[in-house]
This record gives sequence, structure tokens and C-alpha cells, in this order.
Amino acid sequence: MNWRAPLAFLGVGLLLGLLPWLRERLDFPVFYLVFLYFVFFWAAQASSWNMLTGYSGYFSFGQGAFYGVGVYTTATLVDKFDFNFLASLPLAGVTAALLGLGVGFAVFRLRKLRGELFALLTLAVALVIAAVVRNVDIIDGGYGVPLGQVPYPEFLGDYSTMLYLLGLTIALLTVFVAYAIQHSRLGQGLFAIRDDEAVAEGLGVPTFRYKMIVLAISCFFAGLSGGLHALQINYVAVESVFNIRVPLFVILMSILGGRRHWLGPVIGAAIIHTLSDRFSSARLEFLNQIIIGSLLIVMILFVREGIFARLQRRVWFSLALFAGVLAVQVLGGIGERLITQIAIAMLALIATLLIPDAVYQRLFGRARIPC
Amino acid sequence: MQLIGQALISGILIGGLYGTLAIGLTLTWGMLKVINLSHFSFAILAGYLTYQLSTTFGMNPFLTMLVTVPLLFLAGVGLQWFFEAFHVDEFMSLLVTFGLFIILESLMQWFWTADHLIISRAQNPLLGVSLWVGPFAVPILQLASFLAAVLISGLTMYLLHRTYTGKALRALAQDREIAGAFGVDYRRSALLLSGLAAAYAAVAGAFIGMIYGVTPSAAIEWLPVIFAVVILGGLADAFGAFAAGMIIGVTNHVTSAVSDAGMAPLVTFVVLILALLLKPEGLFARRSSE
Amino acid sequence: MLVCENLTRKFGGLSALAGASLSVAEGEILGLVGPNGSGKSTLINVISGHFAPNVGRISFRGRDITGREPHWITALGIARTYQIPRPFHTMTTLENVAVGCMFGRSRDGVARARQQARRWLEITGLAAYANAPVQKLNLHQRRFLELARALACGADLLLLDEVLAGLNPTEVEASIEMIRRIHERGVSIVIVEHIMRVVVSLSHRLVVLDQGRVIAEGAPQEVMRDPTVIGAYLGRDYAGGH
Repeated sequence: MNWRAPLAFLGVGLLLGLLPWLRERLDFPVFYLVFLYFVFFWAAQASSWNMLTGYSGYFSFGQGAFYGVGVYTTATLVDKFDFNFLASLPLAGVTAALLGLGVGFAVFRLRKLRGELFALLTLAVALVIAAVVRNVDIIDGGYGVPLGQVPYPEFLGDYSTMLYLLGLTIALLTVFVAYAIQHSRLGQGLFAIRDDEAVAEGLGVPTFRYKMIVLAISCFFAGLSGGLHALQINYVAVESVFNIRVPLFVILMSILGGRRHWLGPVIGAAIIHTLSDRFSSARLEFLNQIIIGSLLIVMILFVREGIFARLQRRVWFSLALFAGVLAVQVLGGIGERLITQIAIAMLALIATLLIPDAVYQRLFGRARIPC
Repeated sequence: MQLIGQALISGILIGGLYGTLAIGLTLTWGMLKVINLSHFSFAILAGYLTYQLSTTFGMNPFLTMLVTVPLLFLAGVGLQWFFEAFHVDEFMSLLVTFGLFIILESLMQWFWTADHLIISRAQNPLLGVSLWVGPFAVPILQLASFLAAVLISGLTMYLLHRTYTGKALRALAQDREIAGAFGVDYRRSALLLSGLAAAYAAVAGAFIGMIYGVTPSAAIEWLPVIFAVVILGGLADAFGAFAAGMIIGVTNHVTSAVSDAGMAPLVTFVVLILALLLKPEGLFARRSSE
Repeated sequence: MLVCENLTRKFGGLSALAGASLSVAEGEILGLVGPNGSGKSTLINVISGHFAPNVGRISFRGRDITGREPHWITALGIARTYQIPRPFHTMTTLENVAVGCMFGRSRDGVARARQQARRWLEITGLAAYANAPVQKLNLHQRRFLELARALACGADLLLLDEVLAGLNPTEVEASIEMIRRIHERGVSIVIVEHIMRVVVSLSHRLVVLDQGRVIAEGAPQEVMRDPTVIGAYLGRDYAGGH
């Protein structure tokens, strides 16, 4: 990893960080800030999940547990103990990481733990945590935690701007760490573990240590992002925090985007959130889940490597298609909101990406191989 | 004391229902190497159909099984056919059925709304009616579901151990290639087994509809408990599923009786975690693990 | 260099190893033979740390390695190959070997590992396939990949588990040549093999396993004439002479 990468991330961060300032100048609705906050939130969640599952191959159904622990750590500290909000965030991450380490210590010690059992185990942990939270009065006790009157850092601007900027920072950090891991020894070791753990061990990869490390990092960011999100949720309750949404979405986003590369979950997050948001606003909520379920099935069956991998082979075609469909809508005045137009362009892009390589090559000649 | 005694009885009875729902899952997982999360959706769907048929057509809830069981049997066959056609392996099946699960949940919500639907007493006169054995109440519907569970477990064990198809399936589960070399037709047996599992889900779903009523999110409420039963009982073990169902049922109810109801799921999940860590092959496993 | 004392390993009720003892001297090629099911692969697995023995001790250059974790044993200088090659299937050939450089005894960083890996690929003749996904390699090439990867770990003792199975005569010759060259670099070798003439010509010493126990050891030609050994094979395999 060279110095160019951190700089690039910083650059993207600065650019995106300018948006709130731009909003004041150009006066476009705050909706866009909120929308992007959610994209950042999901990018952080999906990236953190993928660091563990995508890189190491240990499939986790427990994202809900680590995210939820983060949410409730912040909520409890801030509401019940008058803790400073900003200071509670790293603690939210650390608490989640400690939970993860506990699970990992119990689980990774077992030599013959099959992948499916790990998945079920993490699901069970999530359910246990939810039950504990619901029963322990100091945390929730079934009453929920109201965060409406919580003092938040004013130096970052107003409420939406503050959420946006913090969300951006956390997402950037998470995705950068995912990038860094992928290009490091840790990453190569994890990929080896994913492909063949016994052989990896035989070659000297410290499998237990690496799995614990990536688990801790993954949980830390899940919790960190969750802590911030507590403020967004406002009224924190067990049913809304520990439901199937977070674990489901991170799985889908990573599978859609691609699990082998750090950009996969980010792309998946952007696409799924955009589509989901548009369905909600069009009052087609039930369609939301049906489309998502179908998408999951289609991706698993037909595009196992995810969108990003395919995208890499059809870069120019895909970019041109996306820009083209978007331009047609914008110039032709079709559709009211920019986000809806983007969503349509995304759907068009996904549709073309489903075309199998064999057919694509016959139509458009040799696919581009990335360097 | 009486509280605990009652809890024991209730626990055993509901354990039967757990077993019924778990047997289908444990069979397909253990023998077909398919982790079918949509198994729960099938059951709840059957529950909804039971509700609908009783309420709209005045059918006796028990008789609705004549409709739902064959219907879901076909669904099970269809699902397995799909898996074979797309060469879905164990892990993919988990994700694919996950997708199916959320699709079905959405469809059920769209069709029947999110309301909690339960068959009215007019159509279901046995609702809430109990036999009294001394100081203990034995709800008739739960008793019926327990008896159904006994029948189903017995039937399954007979099928697996006494019939040719059953033995063939057990052989295939152990070593597919060798069994195939002996001329065992995998496809037909697999389709039948999947259909049977779905049929069992239909039976369980009918009782769930009669006793508890249904909501779209019911499927996910039953999921963790049943997985605990499956793991505890051991894969592909019909007797194990039945026995584990009762163990968990009793643990659940006794915990509720002794402390408060919120602790019961906690205890179940902790049991599940311990089972996964200590004896992943199930409490009743007879073969030694690899 | 390597000393195995009285190794016993049971699976269920079956004793794959029942008190096997042998030793490997620095710089030698030790052939390990025996009928099917005699415990050869189990022995390799036990030495490399994949299984711990139920009874017995293993020491490498004086250090006790009994029951230690595989990656710890690799760090000391023992590496193994697999009978059915097990490359990392989502990586390229180069990346596969680089894993050995990164986690073997040299512990290189990613960039340096990729550089070093090229060297090993050149030595095993796979340089042209450096950036190819491993699916493109045939069996013979995959075996060489296994060798390159094991060498990249900086192994001083290489455990070869039936590297010649399934190869055609030309490939067998090329493999023998490669094994000799590896040995010339100073690597000690334990070679498990069924092709008798190869094992007999390559090895300095031969050890014969039967039912988990060592029944003969010594110079190859003498061992193969030992009546106990012929009896163990029931005259089936070797009588053909090859």
C-alpha cells in the first residue's frame, strides 16, 4: 500500500465533506444530506461485515448483534449516564469489538467448525443479545431509550450536517481499513484462510490470530457506526434495532457488490439504499422486500462474484450505459427527483450486468481485463 | 409445585409441535444438504391457508390439512427440483432460501396484512378448551398437535429405517457416489423427501394457525427455537428432533414459570449456543463424528 | 534432524499409526512406502501438525514439536505437499506462492513476497503462469505449484505426499529431476510414493510401514528384498517389478 491510497481517500472525503457547505450556497433540500448519510451508514455496516465474512469466508449472521451493541452502548451512556455523545462513539465500537472477541474466542478454538454452524452461532448470539437488552432495565428493559434531547456537538453545524459529516468520517475510516486489509499480509492470509484454512495453516498463516483480529476490527466498526446511528434513530427500541433489517441488508449489499473487493460493499450499499429509498417513497414498501429477496437469489445463482467484479470487465460499457440512461432522463425531463433518475439508471445497469459473459463477448467483443 | 407441573405438561405438548416443525428441516438439512430457511415460511403459509379456508369456506380446521398438505408437498418437491436444476450447494441454499423467506414474508403481509389472524371460536370450537387431569390443564388442540407429532416421528422413523427408499436416502446422505453406484436413484428420493418435509411443515402450520394464530413475522419468531431443536437433536435424526423438541419445550416453559417470560428465549438461545459449541452433531448422535 | 518416537494415532476405533518410530537425517532423502492404509498419510499429517498423536513424541532438530500447531511447525522449517493439490483457488499462481513467502520462515511483506515468489516460480518452471488463475494449471503444474509454495516457506524438510500419482511418464521424469534439484539446494526430503522404481532410485534410505508400524528400514534395494516387506504387500504391488 503506497501513500497515494490514503490521499485519494482523503480527497474523496474532503469533496464529499463540502456538500453541506454547498447545500447552503445552492440551496437544495436537506433530503440529499440525509439520503447520503444513510448511504454512508450502510457502506460502513456492509464494509465492516465484509471484512470478516467476505475476506475470511466465515459467514456471519450476527451483524445485528454488533451493530445493536453499538447503538445501545451509546444510547445507554448518553441517556442514563449523561455521557458526552462524541466520546461514547469509540466506546460503542470497543464494546462491540469485545463482544466479537468473546464470540471468536469461544468459537475459533474449535478445529472443525463448519461454515454453516458459525453462521447459525452468530445468529444465536444476536438473538441472545436482543433478549438480554430487552430484559436488563439499565439498558432498555423493554421501555426503549429516548434520545431526542441529547446534546450533540454543535461545532459541526446543524443536526443533519453533523450526522452527515460524522457518518462520512466513519464510513471513510471503515472503507479505508477494508482497503488497507485487502492489500496487506493480513488480507492475503485471510484470503488463504477463505480458500483453504488447513493449507493456509500448513504454510504458516496464524489462522486463529488473524480471524480474531479481523473479527475485532469488523465488530468495532459495526459498533462505531451503530453508535452514531443511535442518534439518527432517535427513539431506540429493541424491535427496531434487533430486527432482520441490518443483518439482511449487509449480506445483500456485499453479495450484490462483491465480497472479494473493498469496493463491493460500498457499491452494493449505494445501489440497495437508493432502490430501497425509492420504493419507500413510492409507497411500494412490500415490493422492497420482494425485490431484495429476488435480487439476492438472482445474484447467488447467476452472478456469484458480485457486480463489481463484472463491472471491472465491462468498465466503459457500464459507465456509458449508466451515464446514458441518466442523461436521457435528466435532459428529457423524465421523473421528478434526481435520486429516482439515478435509481432507474442503476436498475438498467444491473440488468445489463446480468448478461452472462459469453453473450456479452459475442455482442461487444473481448471484455476489458483490468490491470 | 403445581406451576412447575403445569409447565412440564405444557412444555411437553408444545415440544411435540416443535418436533413436527423441526423434523422436516432436519431431514432436508441432514440428507439433502440443503438448509431451508423458507421451511418456516411454508409452515406459516399453511397456517394462513388454514385460517382462510376455515374463515371463508367454513371448513373444519383439521380438514383443511387435506388441502394444505398436498399443496405444500408439491411446493417442497418444486423447491428441491429448483435446487437440483441450479446445482445449489449447501451454502448457497442457505442464502437462496433466505431470499425466498423474505419474499414469502412480504407476500403474506401484502395478502393478509400485518394483523394477527386467528381462527374464530365459531370455526374452531376447540380453541382454549382443555381436558383436566387432576389439577393440570391439558389443552386439547395442543394435545392433538402432540399426537400428530408422535405419529409423524413414528412414520418418519419407519420410512427411514424400514423402507427401501428410506434406507436409500440414508445411504445417500452418508456417501452419495457409492450409493449411486449401487443404483440408488437420488433425484426421485430427494424430491420425495423435500415434499415430505414441506408436508410436515403444513401440518405444523395448521396447528400453529389453530392454536396461536399467524402474523407475517411469525416465521422468524419460530426460526431460532426450531434451529435449536434441530441442532440439539442432530441432523437427519427424526427421533432426535422429537426428543429435542420436548427438551426445549420443557426448558422454555419451566423457565417462564420459574422466572419471567422474557428469560425463556434467552435460555433457549444459550442452550443453542452451548449445543453448537459442545456437541454440534447433536445430543442423540449414534455415529462418531469425523 | 527429525525423530519420531512411538507414534500412535487413533481415529474412532481404528489405529492409523500404532507405535511408528523413524528418523530423518539432515540432507537425506527418505522414502516412505507401504501398502494402502498403512498409515503413510497419517504420519505426514502428524509430523506437519495437522493431527496430534495420541501417544509418542516428535522432535525436529532437538526441539519437541509433538502436537504443536501447524503454522508453528512451518516456522521451524517443515513444509508439506498434498496428494491432491490444494491451491488457493481464488488466487493466481504467483499469489499462491507469495503466501508461502509471507508466512513461511521469511515473513516478507506483500510486495517483497511477490518478488520472491517469482524466483520460486522460475525454479519450478512456472514463471509463464505467474498471473494465471490456478484453474488454468494441469495436474503436473499444480504439483509443481505445491512444490514452489512449500519451498517459498523456506522449508529445510519437505514432506512429499505422493507427488507422482496420476502423472504420465514424461511428467514423472520431470518431477524426479525437480526433486533432485530441490535436494541439491540443501533440502531434506521425506517422499511417500507408490511408484517403486522411483522411490528406490531416489531415496538414500527406505522405511516401510504396515498397519501403522515400521516393519523394515535401511538401504532401498535390501529393504525391498526383505521377506517381511514382500509379505506385507502380499506380493501384489511390487512383484510386478515396475
